[in-house]
Amino acid sequence: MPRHAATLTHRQAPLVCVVDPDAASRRRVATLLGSLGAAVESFATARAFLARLPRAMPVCLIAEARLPDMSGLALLQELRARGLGIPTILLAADADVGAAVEAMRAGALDFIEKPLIDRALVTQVAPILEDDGHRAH
Amino acid sequence: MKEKPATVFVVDDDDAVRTSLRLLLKSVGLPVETYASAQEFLDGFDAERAGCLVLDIRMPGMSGLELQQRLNEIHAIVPIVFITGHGDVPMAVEAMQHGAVDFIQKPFRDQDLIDRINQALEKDRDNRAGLKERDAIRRRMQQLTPREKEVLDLVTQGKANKVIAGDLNVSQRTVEIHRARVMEKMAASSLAHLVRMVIEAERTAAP
Amino acid sequence: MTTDSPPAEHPTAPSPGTAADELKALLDAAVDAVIVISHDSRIQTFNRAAERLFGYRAEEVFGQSVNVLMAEPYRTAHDGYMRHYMQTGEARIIGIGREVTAQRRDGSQFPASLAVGQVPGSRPPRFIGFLHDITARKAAVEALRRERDRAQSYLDLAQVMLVAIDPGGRIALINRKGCEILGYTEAELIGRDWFEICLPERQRATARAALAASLADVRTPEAYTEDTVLTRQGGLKLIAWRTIVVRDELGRPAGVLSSGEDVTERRRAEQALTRSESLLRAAQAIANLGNYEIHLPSGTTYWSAQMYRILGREPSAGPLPPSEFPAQVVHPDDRERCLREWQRAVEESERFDLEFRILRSDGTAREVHGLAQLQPGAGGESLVITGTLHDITERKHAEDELRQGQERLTHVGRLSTMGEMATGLAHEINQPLTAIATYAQAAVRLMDAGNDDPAELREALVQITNQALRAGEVIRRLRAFVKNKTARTETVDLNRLIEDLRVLAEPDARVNDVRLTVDLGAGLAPVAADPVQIQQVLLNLIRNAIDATLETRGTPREVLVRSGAVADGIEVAVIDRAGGIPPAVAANLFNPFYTTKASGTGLGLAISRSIIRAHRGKLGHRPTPGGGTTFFFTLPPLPGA
Repeated sequence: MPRHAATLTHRQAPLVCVVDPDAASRRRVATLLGSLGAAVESFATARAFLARLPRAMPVCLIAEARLPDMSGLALLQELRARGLGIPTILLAADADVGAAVEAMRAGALDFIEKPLIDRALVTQVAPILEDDGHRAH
Repeated sequence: MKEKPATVFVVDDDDAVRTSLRLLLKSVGLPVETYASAQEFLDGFDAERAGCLVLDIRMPGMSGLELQQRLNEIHAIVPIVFITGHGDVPMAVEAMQHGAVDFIQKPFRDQDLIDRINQALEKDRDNRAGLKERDAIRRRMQQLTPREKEVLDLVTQGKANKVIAGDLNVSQRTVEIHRARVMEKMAASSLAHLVRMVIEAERTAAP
Repeated sequence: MTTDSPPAEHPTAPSPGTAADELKALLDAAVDAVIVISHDSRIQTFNRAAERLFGYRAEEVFGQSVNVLMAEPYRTAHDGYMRHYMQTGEARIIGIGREVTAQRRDGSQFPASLAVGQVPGSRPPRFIGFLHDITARKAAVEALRRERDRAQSYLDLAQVMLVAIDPGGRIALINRKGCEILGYTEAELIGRDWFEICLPERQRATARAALAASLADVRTPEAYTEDTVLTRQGGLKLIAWRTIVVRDELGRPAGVLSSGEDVTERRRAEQALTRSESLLRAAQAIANLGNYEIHLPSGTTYWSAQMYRILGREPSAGPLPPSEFPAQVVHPDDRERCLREWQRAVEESERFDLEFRILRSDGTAREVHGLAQLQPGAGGESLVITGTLHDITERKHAEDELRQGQERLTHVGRLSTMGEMATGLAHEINQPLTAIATYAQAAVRLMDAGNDDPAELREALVQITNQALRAGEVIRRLRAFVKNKTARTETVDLNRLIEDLRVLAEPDARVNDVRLTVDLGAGLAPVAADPVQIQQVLLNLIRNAIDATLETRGTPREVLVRSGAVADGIEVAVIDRAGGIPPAVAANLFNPFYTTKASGTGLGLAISRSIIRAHRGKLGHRPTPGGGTTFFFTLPPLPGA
């Protein structure tokens, strides 16, 4: 099904979803990704995003590690449970190694400490956008 | 063939850390070998040996991450548990992205390390089992005649016997015979099984 | 010879027989020498006075030429005059009061006044001469002249103007100095109206009136006045006058005599001095600097106004005698030091130079800097101590704050260096901690498994101890390094300091995959230094060397610390093999806040250099032979080492 959805979005700008309780942070990431050519949808909570999911399938998910209703880790695990292999990048304002490793073990694509996001984010997301969601698994 | 028991390979430049780990692992009955540098480990590395790697990151000369990269380059699949005195997130992420089993910080709770080592050893067993199986499949495939190989290809593409007969310009009956022989030689229990085996055989890298 | 006094004679008509006797008696009574000569100059009469004067008896000279009584050139001149008269009838010899040089019998000569007359009715003509010795008179005149000349020269020498004014206001006398001051010649002034010529117009009326009053005895002239005079060029000079009234022999005022001193320059100098004195007072007030003088042996003391102000004492109370100064003014804690230093300065004839505290009369303490010097006083024997007292309280506070600020900055520098080295140090502490935790947990497991080989357990505990001490050592070094302490100088063995430093420096190097080695010169002299600060400098240099090595690829990853003796002391060099320093960077190296590192403060080298400077050493850099940079500092050896 992801393939299908991806084919559908091929003609339009690829969709990236941002989940972050902090509005300023959401805006920042949205602007950054927008400049890469992505269409961005932002959500303040994990549930809001999950609710949106079946209809809008992003090629990439950017989520804050600490969400008010669900940890970023839990979100990852939920996506995996649903069989949705959406490439996910976790952002953390307050990062520690343990959380990072856990996130990676749960299948995150990357785990980025917040003050340093710009370059790392671009490095990770740009290829995804180029591939347009067609990633070999 | 007598298999050597799985060994935990400890690589850390600090003398005290190596020695204390040796004692700890001994206390849980795990065989251990210690190395003071990544180079030393590489020099004596034997991919056939079962086990896992407990690896420090910051070391003079080759760092832990560099060793991981080298091992990846030679397609060595020994699982790595990183242990480090540093609290560096980017480093941890990088290690995980390059396939590390885990990454824990010093000082650690002995049970935490032991758990992870056990997970790594289990992974190693799985890998080896997988490897073994792949080798077995490959060997079986080599027993196939060229014609049988062709049939195998076409069967696993999902083509019906009739179509295969058309492609190969033989009778359908011939195809059926080849097919039976292939199933037998490959020891496949079903078509799905056969497909799985073929996919498995085609893998070049560790999962 | 006795002088006979002539007998009193009645003025009766002379009898013929007594005329000659009367004449003789007259002649002999005369005071003057009377000599009568014939037309051919033969002596016919020679009175008693002549006898006395010349030393001849009359009989001896009768009939002799009067020449015999004369010295040259008069002798020859007389003959000439006689001849001339005889020939021409012109009388040259006749005259009154000629001065001649006469000659006595014994050959001695003397000045004489000669009056000659012709004896009336004498034919051939006979001449009569009256002569008296004018030696005394001449001497007196000479003395007088000399006296007058001397007086004149005194008048002329005098640096004061002397002016005598007659009752008419005219200049009767003016000396050379007066002429000089006024700019006229004597001739131009004598007899001229003093007031018209020499006084400015506005003063004339008053001055004339004053003269009139003095001469009228209405008022004695002022003993001392200062007035201006008008020079020939029209300029004004200020003269200090002393005037007396000159009286004649009857005591009546006959004029005034004034001596005047030109005080124009002096007045200017006085004004300049007053101005400079008030400037000095102002300057002292601004600078908060007082000065004093103590005259020895009397102990007479002078304090400037500022002294009183600094010490918070009333000027009306007068200065304190030197003996009471320490007790009354110097802070009790500084008294001994002050006295000792004063003694030393006096004994060794050196300057007294000391900073100490004083207590003002209101009890507040001030920091002062006292200077004093012994100088010979006017007149050989006496001595004068001249000194200054400078209130430096504000400066000292500022200095203290500056020093504290510098120490804080240096401390911050240490913290910053530590921050930069934190990664390596944390690692360095973490390793032993890991080993401790692992050993301990392993031991527990062994014991739980019943596998309690005492030797192994014991070994675990021994190792735990060692590792704990290892961690403790790093912490201890770290703590000592970052502690905020005031700089304290000790005798330091630089090699030992470098060795001690390795505990802190090696982790940093190791973590960055750089090899740190040391090469210590043998037998180096100790230096006077604050060990923590020197370690700070060294760590900063090592840190920089490691950073440089990290930034450069393809060069040996080594940093060497080398110590050795050089010409001006001990040199410690930190040698890297990295890429060297580009000129643009080199120019700014020691500027505070200049940094090429992303997370650098730019303070390290600036602080390091000021530390080394405070130790009277040098900090510099030079290229490493073969590539790289060597930073070095030199410290002077202990004096006497």
